[in-house]
Amino acid sequence: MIIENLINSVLHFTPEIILFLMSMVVLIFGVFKSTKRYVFHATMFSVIIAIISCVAFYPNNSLLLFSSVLIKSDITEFFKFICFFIFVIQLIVSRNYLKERQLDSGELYSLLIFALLGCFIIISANNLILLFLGIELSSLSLYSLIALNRSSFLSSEAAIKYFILSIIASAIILFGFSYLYGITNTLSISNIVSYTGDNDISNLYLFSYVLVFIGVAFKFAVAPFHMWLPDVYEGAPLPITSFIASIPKIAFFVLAYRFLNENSIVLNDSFSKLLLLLGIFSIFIGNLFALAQKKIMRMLAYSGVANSGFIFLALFTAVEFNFSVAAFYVISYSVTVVSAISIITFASSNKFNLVYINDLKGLASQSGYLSILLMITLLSTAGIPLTVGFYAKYLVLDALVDMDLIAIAVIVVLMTVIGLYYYLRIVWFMFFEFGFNSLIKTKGKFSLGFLSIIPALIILVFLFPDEIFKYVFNILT
Amino acid sequence: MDNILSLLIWVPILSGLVLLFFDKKSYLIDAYNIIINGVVFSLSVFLLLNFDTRSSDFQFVEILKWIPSLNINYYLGVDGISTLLILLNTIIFLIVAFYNSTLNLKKRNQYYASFLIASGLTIGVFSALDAMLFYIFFEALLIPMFIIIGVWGGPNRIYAAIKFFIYTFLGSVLLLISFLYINSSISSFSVLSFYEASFSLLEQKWLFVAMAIAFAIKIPMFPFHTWLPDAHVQAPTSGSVILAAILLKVGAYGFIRFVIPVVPLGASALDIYFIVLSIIAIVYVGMIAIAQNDMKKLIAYSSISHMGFVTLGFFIIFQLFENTSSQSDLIISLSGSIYQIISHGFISAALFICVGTIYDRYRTKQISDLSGLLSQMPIYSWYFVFFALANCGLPGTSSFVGELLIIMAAYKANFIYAFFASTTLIISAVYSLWLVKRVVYGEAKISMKNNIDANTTEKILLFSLAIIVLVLGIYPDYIINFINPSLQSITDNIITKI
Amino acid sequence: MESLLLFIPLLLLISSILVGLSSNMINNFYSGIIGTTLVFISFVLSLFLLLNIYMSDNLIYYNNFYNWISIYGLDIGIGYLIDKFSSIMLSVVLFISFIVHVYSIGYMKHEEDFKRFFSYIALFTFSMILLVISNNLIQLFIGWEGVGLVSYLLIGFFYKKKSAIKANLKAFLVNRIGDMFFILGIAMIYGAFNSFDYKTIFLSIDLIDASSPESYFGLSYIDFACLLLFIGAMAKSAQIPLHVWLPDSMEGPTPISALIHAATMVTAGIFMVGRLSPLYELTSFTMDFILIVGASTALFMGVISIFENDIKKIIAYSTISQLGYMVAALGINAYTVSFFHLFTHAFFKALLFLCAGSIIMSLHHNQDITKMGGLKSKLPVTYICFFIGTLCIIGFPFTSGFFSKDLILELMLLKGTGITYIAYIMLLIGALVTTVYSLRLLFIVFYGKYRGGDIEEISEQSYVIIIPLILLSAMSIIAGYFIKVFIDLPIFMSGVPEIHYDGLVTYIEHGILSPATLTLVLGFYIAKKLYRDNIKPEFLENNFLKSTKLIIMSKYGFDEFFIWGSVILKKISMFMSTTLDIGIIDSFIVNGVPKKINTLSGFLKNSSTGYLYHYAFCIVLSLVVILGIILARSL
Repeated sequence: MIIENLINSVLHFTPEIILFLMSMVVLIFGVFKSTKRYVFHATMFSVIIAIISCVAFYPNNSLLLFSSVLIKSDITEFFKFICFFIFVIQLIVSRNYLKERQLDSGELYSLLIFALLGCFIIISANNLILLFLGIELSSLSLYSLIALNRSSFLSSEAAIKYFILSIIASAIILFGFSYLYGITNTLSISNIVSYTGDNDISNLYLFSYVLVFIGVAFKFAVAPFHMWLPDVYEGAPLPITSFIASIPKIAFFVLAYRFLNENSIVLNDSFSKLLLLLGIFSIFIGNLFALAQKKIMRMLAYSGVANSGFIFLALFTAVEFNFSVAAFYVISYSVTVVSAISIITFASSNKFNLVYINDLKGLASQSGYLSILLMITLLSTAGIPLTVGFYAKYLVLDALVDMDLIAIAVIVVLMTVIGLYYYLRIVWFMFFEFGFNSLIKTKGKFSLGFLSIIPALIILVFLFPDEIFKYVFNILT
Repeated sequence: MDNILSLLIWVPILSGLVLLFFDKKSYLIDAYNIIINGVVFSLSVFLLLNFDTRSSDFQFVEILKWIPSLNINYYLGVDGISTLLILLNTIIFLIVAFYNSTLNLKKRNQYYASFLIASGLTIGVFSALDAMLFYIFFEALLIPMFIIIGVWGGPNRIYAAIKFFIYTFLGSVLLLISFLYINSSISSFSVLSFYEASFSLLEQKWLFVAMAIAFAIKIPMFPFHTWLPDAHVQAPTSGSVILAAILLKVGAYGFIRFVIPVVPLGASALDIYFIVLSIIAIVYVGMIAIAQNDMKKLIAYSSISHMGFVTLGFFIIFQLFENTSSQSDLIISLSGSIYQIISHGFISAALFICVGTIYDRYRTKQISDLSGLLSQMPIYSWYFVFFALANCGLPGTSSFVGELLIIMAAYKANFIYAFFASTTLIISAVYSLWLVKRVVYGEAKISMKNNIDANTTEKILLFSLAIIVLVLGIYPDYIINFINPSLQSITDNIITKI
Repeated sequence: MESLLLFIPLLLLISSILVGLSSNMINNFYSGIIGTTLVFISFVLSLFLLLNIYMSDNLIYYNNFYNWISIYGLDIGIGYLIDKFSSIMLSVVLFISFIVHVYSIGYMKHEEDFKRFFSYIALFTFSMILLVISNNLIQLFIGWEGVGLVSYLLIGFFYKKKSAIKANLKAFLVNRIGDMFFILGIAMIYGAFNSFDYKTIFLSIDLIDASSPESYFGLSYIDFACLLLFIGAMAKSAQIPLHVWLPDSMEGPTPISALIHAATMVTAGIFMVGRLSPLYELTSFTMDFILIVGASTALFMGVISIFENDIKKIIAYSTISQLGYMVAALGINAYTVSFFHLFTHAFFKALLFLCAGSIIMSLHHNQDITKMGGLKSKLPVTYICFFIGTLCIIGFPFTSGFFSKDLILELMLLKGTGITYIAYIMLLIGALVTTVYSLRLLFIVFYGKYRGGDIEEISEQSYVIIIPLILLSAMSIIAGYFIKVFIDLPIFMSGVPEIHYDGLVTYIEHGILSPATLTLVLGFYIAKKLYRDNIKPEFLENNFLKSTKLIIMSKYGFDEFFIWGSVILKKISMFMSTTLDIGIIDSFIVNGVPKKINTLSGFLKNSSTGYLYHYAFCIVLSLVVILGIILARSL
């Protein structure tokens, strides 16, 4: 009985196991000269077989592994697939970039895989300890990834900042966890969530929730816990940035989902107001700071802050309704931002760092196609119709209006109008200004075709969103 | 041919996208562009001919489930008003296509493409019966216009383009919120169910304000009008034509399709403010037009003041109903506004083409640089004089009809409104004819010795526009009858609500 | 008959378009011929119509050509209402227009824009006819604006002349000022009767007093409406203070002056009031207003032309003063009489203008009478015609002017309210003034000796010029004898002031014995002394008369006033444009707010230092704040 249960668990845990083992293999590949140049392929291979195994062991109903330490359900698998998708794109896009900067070492790829693995564990953890392990695994590998570019002063600065700050965050989270354990005498998240204590304790319970979610807020880079983000975006190598911008967000969304879903105490209490306030605040901060930025990555960072604010708003509404709104937002945003960063990565592949927005002047005259891709992506982050980003914002606003928070909806919308300006600034630099920058890479049929996958998706999903909505809605309710 | 509306929308958009892949220099582009526009035009004529003028409800209806989970549908249909506006749209775009073929531009295929896409989207706006669909077309319409101004515009084009985009976007997000609100209470985006919906007075007031601001920015009404002169001055000639002839009409259409029928109580509660704003637009903006030295600016301001007439016609109806309580007066006032919309579409288009021609010849739009055009290019100048006269509402031209009906209705609402409205007879005459005096008459300047008169294409364009303006002025009854049933149903709806 | 009726306006429109657009297909002369023939045909048609109407008693043609607009309850048609009144007007207009056409063939033959000219005058006549035959207010307004438009085009015919394009803009704008009030008047009429149609209005006229209890600025509803309409008429018929456009309109070619001032445009106002007489019957204040305006125009504008030196301007001012007589007659409800004066005046004024034209041609476009003189010998025919014209205008017995003017003066006395006596005096003095300036003109131009250089090169013009003059002078003599027609003319339903008319002979006797004759004699004496014998009596040298003379020569400063007004308008609009619109709305609000946001964000950007301990501090601080809130709440 126990044995087969264990076997079953192990079988279903194979994707993670594969990733773990392969990261080792990749690391070893990196060591020897002869195999060094196959690191990339090894990584791709490992990811692919991981995906295959994921498909192979797809659970037909949600199950608990290793005596309910891990959960495996439609939700977890869905988000894992999204992560895989993003990860693969990042790998392929960033290959040249890394090669030219001699960063394509074994440790980089293995650390990437570790980070992914960490996120997966966060996604499917149902146990505080395991969850914390996941968080730390991803964070630790990210510190070192950021610092990987030893030549760059910015990288190490960013790394050290990220390291120290997220240590604080982890500490806060851990503090919260300990409280939760103290209150509920259980480590299993599902039990914690379904815990219903009497009032005086429930205050404490909420207190610990606040601690946990401040940690989450830090990971999402929601103001006022966002300061690390711009420095990291600026300092880290672009592929790492795009990883940080996308996959952890998804993982932490699932975490939030775990903690909030069907939680009677949180539901009855005004705890969710905290999410609302943080959300609005960070939309303000994000947009206002982004306006004045001269560097592309810093601007994207602040726009990320603003978008995380939206995610928190979505979570706030989710407490009342369901998480599909937030889920859709997280997915659409992280996919879009990956596309944006990948385009920049591609453009700055000729030993030239595309840092300043001015560098984009007159890009359209060099490569209309590339600039159209970038335009679509940016408009999607801005939430203009004809892009999927519109639906993301639409759903949040719709939820807010349904909750009769019209005033908040209006404020938020006006902030997005401000935000529109800095997205448009890039668009007009590319299309309206004159200028020529021969260093920007615009050629390369394969990579261009590859880059246009996400923009194409952005438009397509806008045109035919219904199936996706249906799927997201019914797995998250 | 029951999905003709979809054809009208998607044929130009898709063929515009195709055009992007043409070779820039290929001569096919012009032909292709003109043919596509011609096709669209003939489609719209087909629409006009098969439109049943007797019935008042929406025709050529198409419903596809688009996003059932958000109850957004692909729901198209036209009534008399939107049919006419679609026809106006296609005619103007055809004319612009011909006009463009006379210019030598950079990236002409992209230029044409953005016009084709804009055309399709505009038709979408006019034929959408689902509020969200309307909103999406309404927003998407900004992008081609933004690009047209930004890429092919004048020296200060970026400022103008950004201002245009963000200002209009600012309005439209309020529109979005109000649509969401309505949806959250009646859980439907279909315009027809909007008409059935009933809200408390407070709700109606708020909804009215939100929607009205959105469309007031688009139309534009004083004091939301300042983006228009900049946009016009910077936009290329054909861009200005589209802007004046079509995009402003989108705002007006929004008023008659959404604001007034959906929240009549709110409108009637706050109508006085909008009446005042309209009157300010007529008088004050008209006065501003007098002072302009840039011809495009002058025409832009005159457009605003003419749009003031349209909004006046829209918003007096409530007081009209209080005074006379006869539906016919409401219909008279509204049809005045609709007629004004259509006529201004043609006249402003013609005027902008005239200015564009001058600009091609003499590389200036400044009145002070020009004089005695008549001795240089007589035929062209006579067209210019004609359209300037049409612009100041001369009987026999289309603009007279609308102004007459609106003034008559305004009198029945209140003598003061009529008084201020009728000052346009003087003001518009001053700015139009003073312009003519300074530009067309007098001795030619030495700097402008250049007597290339209007070329054949320009002659044809101006002639056809002149004919349209005259026919609309001499026999307005056809169009009036065309829109009457729709106005009947709209006013029925309003009256039952108030 | 009705179908023929359509052709009267149509032919003119056709001629206008045909001549206007036939760029090189037809040469000037033939295009002139075509235009003239078409006008002639429609003139004949109108005569035919006139006869028809007078054959059968109270026959009225009334119908619509087509429906212009028909919305529920509101039906506006383009149609015709031909009764005795409008048919007479129609024939007069067409006759004068025909004469002018013929004359112009000669007068304009050296202009390269010959065709444009002909197409204009055809269009002009067309819109005048539209106005005359109209059966509703909107069509009236359309024609009304139409004549305004074409006068604009005609006055600016020499578009390179600075003065011309100033004048035509001025003419159009002043007319527009009138039109604004006119359309408001129409709106009020529509508001009362819910219709623009004359028939409907006149039939439901009794409703009006009941239906309008509220008073507008102290006037009754209909009174105010009619006042507004009349202000429109003041602009068209050049009454003080909206007369300013008319003297300047002399910038146009001379035949135009004849057309505009004799039969068409300026008489439109008179015609309109006549048409709407049933409404004006109900007014009290408006009537007095009309009377005063008319009388003062008649007097003060007449005085100006005593001191004018431009031959055309003199005649222009005389036109204004004659219009004053007509308006004054309207002011005592004597519509027919006013119309009668319009009728006679049409002929002799056209005559005078055309004579002036022929003189100007002979003197190579010199219009300054101080450079003329002694032309009697050189231009005999013109002289005789001009002489006849003068006799008519001063109202010399047995000429047409005598009949009409006398009738007006007489009715003034008959009416016999206080205000009419004043008006009577003014008109009487006006008659004196008229005599003086007309004879002055005659003497200075034709008597004495030539002051313009060599007289030998001056010669009579071709027959195309001469024949119209002769026709007109014939007409201007006999026109007066139609008096009976006009006295019996039924152009209103009610309230005709009683006119004692028994037989032509007694009328003439009575007329000769009236004070008007005295003014003739006196006027002749003054004119002879001053301008024939050139005596300079010293009592004219005193300061009071001098200063009044200055005032008069400054034309009472109306022009200055309008110029001042336009300057103010420009200033205001400049202020609005730069200060209000660009300054406040655009820069301060529309662009100002984004700028503020931008500066704020710049400030924030600089505020973010990038020091790690700041970050850490910030995180901890906000953590503390949040937890503090939570705890505070839970306590």
